Amino acid sequence: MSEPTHPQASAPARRQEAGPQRGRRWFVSSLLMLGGLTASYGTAILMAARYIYPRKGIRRVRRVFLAPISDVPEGSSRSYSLPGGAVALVTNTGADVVALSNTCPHLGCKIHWETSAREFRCPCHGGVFTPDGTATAGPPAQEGKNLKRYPVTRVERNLFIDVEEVIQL
Amino acid sequence: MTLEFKRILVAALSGLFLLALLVVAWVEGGQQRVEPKPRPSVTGESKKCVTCHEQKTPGIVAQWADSKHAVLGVACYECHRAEESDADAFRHEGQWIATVVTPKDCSGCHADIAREFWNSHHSKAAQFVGSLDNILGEIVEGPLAAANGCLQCHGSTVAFARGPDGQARRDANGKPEFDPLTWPNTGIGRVNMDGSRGACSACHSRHAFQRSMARQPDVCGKCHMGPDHPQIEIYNESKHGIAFRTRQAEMNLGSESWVLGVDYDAAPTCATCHMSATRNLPVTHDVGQRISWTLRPVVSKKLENWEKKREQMTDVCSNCHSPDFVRGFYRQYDATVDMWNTKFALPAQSIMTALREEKKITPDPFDDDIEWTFYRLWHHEGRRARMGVSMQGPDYTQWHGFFEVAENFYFRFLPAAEELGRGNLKIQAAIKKVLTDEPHRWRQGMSPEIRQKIDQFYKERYGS
Amino acid sequence: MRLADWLKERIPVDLEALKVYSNEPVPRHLKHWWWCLGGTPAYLFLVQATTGILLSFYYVPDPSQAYESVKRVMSAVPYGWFIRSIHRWSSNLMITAVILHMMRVFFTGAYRRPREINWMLGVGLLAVSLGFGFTGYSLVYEQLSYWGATVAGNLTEAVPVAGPYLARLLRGGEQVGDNTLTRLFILHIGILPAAITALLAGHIILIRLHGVTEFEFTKDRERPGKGTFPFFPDHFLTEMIIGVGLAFLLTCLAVIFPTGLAERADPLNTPPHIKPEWYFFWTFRWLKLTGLTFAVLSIGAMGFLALVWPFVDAAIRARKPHSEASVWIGLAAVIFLTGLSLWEAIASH
Repeated sequence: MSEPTHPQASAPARRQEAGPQRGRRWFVSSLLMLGGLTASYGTAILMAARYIYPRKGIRRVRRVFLAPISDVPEGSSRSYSLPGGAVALVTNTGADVVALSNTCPHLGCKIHWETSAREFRCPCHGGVFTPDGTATAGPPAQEGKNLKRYPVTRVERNLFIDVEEVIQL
Repeated sequence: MTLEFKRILVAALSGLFLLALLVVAWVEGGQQRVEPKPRPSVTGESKKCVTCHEQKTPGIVAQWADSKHAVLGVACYECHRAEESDADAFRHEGQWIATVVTPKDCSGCHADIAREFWNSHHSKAAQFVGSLDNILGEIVEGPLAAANGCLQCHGSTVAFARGPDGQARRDANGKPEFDPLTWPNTGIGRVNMDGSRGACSACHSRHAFQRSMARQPDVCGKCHMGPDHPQIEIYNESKHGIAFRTRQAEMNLGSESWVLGVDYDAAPTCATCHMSATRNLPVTHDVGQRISWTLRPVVSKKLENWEKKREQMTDVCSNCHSPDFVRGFYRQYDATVDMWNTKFALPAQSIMTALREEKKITPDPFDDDIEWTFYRLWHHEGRRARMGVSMQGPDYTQWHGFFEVAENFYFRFLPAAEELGRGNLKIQAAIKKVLTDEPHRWRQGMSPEIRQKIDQFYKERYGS
Repeated sequence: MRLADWLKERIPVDLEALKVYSNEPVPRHLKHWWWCLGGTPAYLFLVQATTGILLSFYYVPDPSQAYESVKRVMSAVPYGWFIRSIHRWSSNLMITAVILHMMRVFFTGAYRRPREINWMLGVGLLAVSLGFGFTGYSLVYEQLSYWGATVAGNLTEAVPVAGPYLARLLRGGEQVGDNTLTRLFILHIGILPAAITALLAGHIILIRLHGVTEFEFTKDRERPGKGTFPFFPDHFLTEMIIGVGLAFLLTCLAVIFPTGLAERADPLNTPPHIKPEWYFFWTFRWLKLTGLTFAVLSIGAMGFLALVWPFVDAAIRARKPHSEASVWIGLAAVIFLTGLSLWEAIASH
């Protein structure tokens, strides 16, 4: 037998909720319901948001092998790539061996070592730095910004450098 | 069910849901986030090495990747690099490298350790050319026996294979060929081509170079074992060895700091007593620093500065043993070595000297039967006896030791000497002197009291 | 009012007609709780879609990284363990709910004319749900994932005529390899969701158009007009109760029985006892009892029979009116499937 399709939606009005009583009870129960739903599903949504949002990376300092001291004779500079992609310019100033960032503090161009002049130069706006990283000319000098230094430790005949790395997740 | 009731029910269930979510938040808060281990760092030339050798020798790269060297960015090139002027340098993929990494290379960072090792007897292990052992190996047995037997522990003198023109043989890429009698070899006293002596990888196996490997007894036991110096067997018999095996999991072998009484206390290993740090002593790679006797020669001697050395060893013992205990042990030890010296070693030596002087044996070693007998007496049985007492292995002191010493001395050595010395007054006098000495008086016959004691014992114990 | 007018001009929906259409009258009687067995899998599918999208933020569909990415979600991502456990539990509950709903529909004869097509859509929905389950646990790249996919490939090969082609299509090659995981991933997040959305839309539209089936005797007992109550807000609130109740249940399950991570897939090492997920136990046991070709063919036949059952039932009833043969056959099928499943569950081999 075929069943009836689609009787009209002629349900009688809720008798319990007719009249002035409808207002209060309806209001309270609806409020509780909406409040409960918002609170619970809202919390779930907040958890989902926390789940998606990338965690703050753990920053830690790592000591890694840099080079034998004999590789950087006095008055010279050599560049070494570091874990994490940065490049250190390791310079033997005579007094000390320093590791400097190859990024110009002005606008981020990569600087290079001028062997004959024994200084660092930035090709972008003419910044000049001494072997130990002090800015002597150009915009970096005007702004008083020197090259960033990496801490270097000497272990017997070798140099180790402290590099900051960010561990994601 | 009214609509209002349904709404309240939804609200109530939402409340329960919220509570459950709060539990989730609490669980989440309690989660331990493990900081990931630092990844191996490799930059520069070594990067190229790793890329290829990951395929060619994956085990080496994988082992290295687990090491502390990897975390510090000490990779292939940092250790294998060589100067063009180095004797064993060769050109490989655009760099000058050398196969063998020597203590000199390691001293680039580990200079103090290299220095201590250089002063120790370990570094002199290959300096025994001309010793009886060496003659025995190289000549009596054969060079291959020495190369693959003796020298694998003691260390070879690394050399190249030479062509007919006297130059080192090289392959198409210029890589020199090693003399197979000398390499591969990680003997502890290996004489390297750069003049340094030693092989750090003997104890600190490459390429993981784990501390735990060097601290546990088996690594020493590779060489310090066998009929002539069974240290590992003695240790395993001793209570120290039993304690170690029982509580190995508590030994904290991989810890960076490994101070007895601070980082571990379950049991001592070889390293504990002979090298490692205590609260008062720093770690040393001079393995002889705490040893008072040399038990190697025919007649044992106290070493130079032995009081100071004994003091250091005592410091180690005192972590677990009372001063009386330690003192008592050393009395036992000293007395036993003295007994060996006076009862067996000196007498036997004097007889051998007499035999040689009277030309009853040739000047060449090992071509007379009695020379082997004497060799066994002091080099094997006698050493076992002495070393057994030194490291508290009673079975080695007694049954593997003095029992065999006694049997050898009285029933092989002396009879052989008597045979050789027949008709020679000097030799016979020497033998007689030995036999009339107090400790050997029993050879004249034991007293009836002793025989009675024996009868009584067996009657009581076994009935007849 | 201006906003409403502004919207109405641009989205010309007849709200009055919409109200009539959406406010489905639901027959009275206790059945209004039964009818939630349909809404349950729909709700759970929404949960799956949400948690699934969240998981795909961190999942990597590459054999060398898949397992590790799941591990990371479990250990390093905030609430990752929770989202994953919900996803796993909800998948089991969803398939259970679909099966129970189908049984309800079957045993109340609600598949009969004119609802035959809707029944077929439902069978399709079951198949897609099982497909979700299979592709989903293959993505984790545990031992079960890998070897389950291998077995599925072999079974597909055994399908007559088209088997080898289908198997190669599924695996992306002669064997389970790098391509396979990517394809299962695309199935799981793309093709199957599209399929289930289309099928579900059709299913719900047809229900609305036909109206909910009523039992025959209800029609007699209750007078028309009084025999129903409005979908909104009445039944909707019922569905809400079920929904929040399920949310609470899932959270409890996720906390008390969190999903773990088994051994990583090892293509060189078949584990001694592979078992598929519980909803495939019966096929596994049937396969062991009857052999590859027969099992594939018979399962195919059973599936087809299930699909066209309304017509079979109609044919039976044409010859024997009011025959309840369907009920008995359905009962037999339930016992058969449950029995095989239990057997497989208990047996160690």
